[in-house]
Amino acid sequence: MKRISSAIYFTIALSLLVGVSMPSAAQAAEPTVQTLEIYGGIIDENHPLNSEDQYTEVSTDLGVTWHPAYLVGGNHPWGNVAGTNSWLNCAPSFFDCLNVRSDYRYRFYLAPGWSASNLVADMKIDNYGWISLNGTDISGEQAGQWNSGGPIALEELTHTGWNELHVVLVDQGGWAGINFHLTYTVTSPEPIKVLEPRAPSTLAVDFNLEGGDGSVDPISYTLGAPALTLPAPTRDGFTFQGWAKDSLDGLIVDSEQYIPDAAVTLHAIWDKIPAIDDKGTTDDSTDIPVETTTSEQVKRTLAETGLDPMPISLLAFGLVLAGVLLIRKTKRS
Amino acid sequence: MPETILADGTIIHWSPVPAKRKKNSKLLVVGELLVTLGILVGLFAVYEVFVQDEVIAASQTKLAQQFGHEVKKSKKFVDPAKAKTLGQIFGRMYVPRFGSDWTRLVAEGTRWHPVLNEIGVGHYTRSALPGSAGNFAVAAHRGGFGGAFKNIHRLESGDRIYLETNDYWYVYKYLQTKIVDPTDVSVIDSVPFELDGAHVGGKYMTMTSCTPIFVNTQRIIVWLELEKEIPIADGPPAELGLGN
Repeated sequence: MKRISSAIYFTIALSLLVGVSMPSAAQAAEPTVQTLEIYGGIIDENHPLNSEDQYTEVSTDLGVTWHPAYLVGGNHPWGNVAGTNSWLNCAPSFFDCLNVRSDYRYRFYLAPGWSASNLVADMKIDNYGWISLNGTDISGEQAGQWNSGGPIALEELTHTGWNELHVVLVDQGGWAGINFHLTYTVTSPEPIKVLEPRAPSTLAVDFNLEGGDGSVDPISYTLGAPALTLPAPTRDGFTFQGWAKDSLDGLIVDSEQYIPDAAVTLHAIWDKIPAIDDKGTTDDSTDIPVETTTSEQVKRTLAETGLDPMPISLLAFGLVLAGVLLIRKTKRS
Repeated sequence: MPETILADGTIIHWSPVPAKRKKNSKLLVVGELLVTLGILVGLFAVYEVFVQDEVIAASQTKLAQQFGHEVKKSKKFVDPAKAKTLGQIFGRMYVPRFGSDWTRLVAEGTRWHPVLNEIGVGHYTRSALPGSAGNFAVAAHRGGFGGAFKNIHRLESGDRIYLETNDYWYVYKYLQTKIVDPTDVSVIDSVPFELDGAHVGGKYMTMTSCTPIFVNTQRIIVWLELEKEIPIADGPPAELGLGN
């Protein structure tokens, strides 16, 4: 019996170990379909009835100020959209936003290289409303129960960088609120990045010159603004190659069309201009266009490129040894 | 004291297990669990070295076959000059010395994920582009995770390495092998100081990997020099035997 138990234990543990170590599909930079599911709303033990919805922000003054939307429950006579169990409103009940226009907002970032931007909407709207992307109405005015019936193509309205999706509701009295499930898909090399509700609408871009001359003032980027053109600093004896988020990686961002996806400090990347006599070459060699790299810009060490089974082997040995010693000691006593 | 009466009338008296025996019994179970866990972890190490290595090598080879410059290939190379993002694949490498069917993709960056572990060969960001003056430097695993450069120590004079991109085949010929410390990053400089005959304007390639295998305290590096570049339209180098 003990042997069978050990075998089961052994099998489960090995499966877990193998499961976590199997190679995953590569191509992080290959565009794949990315999906953003938006539910308005869901009540659970952490988000009870009449509480603030942590995922949705609402403005009742046309975007001047924003506060959390409220989960007003699922007892509306029209029922709930599949996947949701609550409606949203600008106040904690169905009846407190009379004659108010409420804009529910979601902000998300798309990395360069995206394509095929689409939205599928399933909504219940009481009294009436619409959906807009980056300020353009994409649904038309809708009232009651409305399903887009298929993907709404949004390529022409979608921006590289930050986008703003609004669900707009107008309350004309009586029962009022909004209940929806939106599925946004895009083919992109990176996942869709969603901004936390009520996060500031500006992102600070700071610069580390990494030894460059002078200083560069930080830039405040406003979400939705045109891409930034980054400054080009100078440094004696070096050629400026660009800005990188990670000074070790040295992966350069697009200095002509840069849109930050978060507050960031960019690091200057420099190439040292080689001395003529490094290898005893003649003066003529200075005319040769050379793409230079020096050790200081590339990496502080050469890449680590090998599995080291020693630590795990020692761990295995230690466990067996401890077990054997314990068994021997127990049997002796 | 509990007792059991058997069918033939025999009475068996059960006495409680002494406390010390109970404690010993628990310790015995712990000891056995430790031994079992130790064996499991040991087997996992064996799996990593011998099984996972082969699985990943096959996965990398399969991935390499999906990419190409040809119209029929579903996944295209990125132009090397535009490969600025970690993991962007800009070429495919062939090393006949590693085996007639050995091929791996080359991607930007030398991080384990997603480059060295999943794709195979990584380009040191900021080192020269293939075919350019300077030093086109790449890294790959030696042991484990597919061990793309497992046989780097077998490269020798007369060997060639072929790199296929969207526009050109680059053929590099072997120059020199060296064992260095991990901190000796000058080996991937534009003009590697320790490479005999290196000069400004030379078009070099450096392959780096760990050594000794599975110990990894040093780096083995191989220097090569561009021998020729062939426009893709002219077809692959005949010596690769890939057909046109």
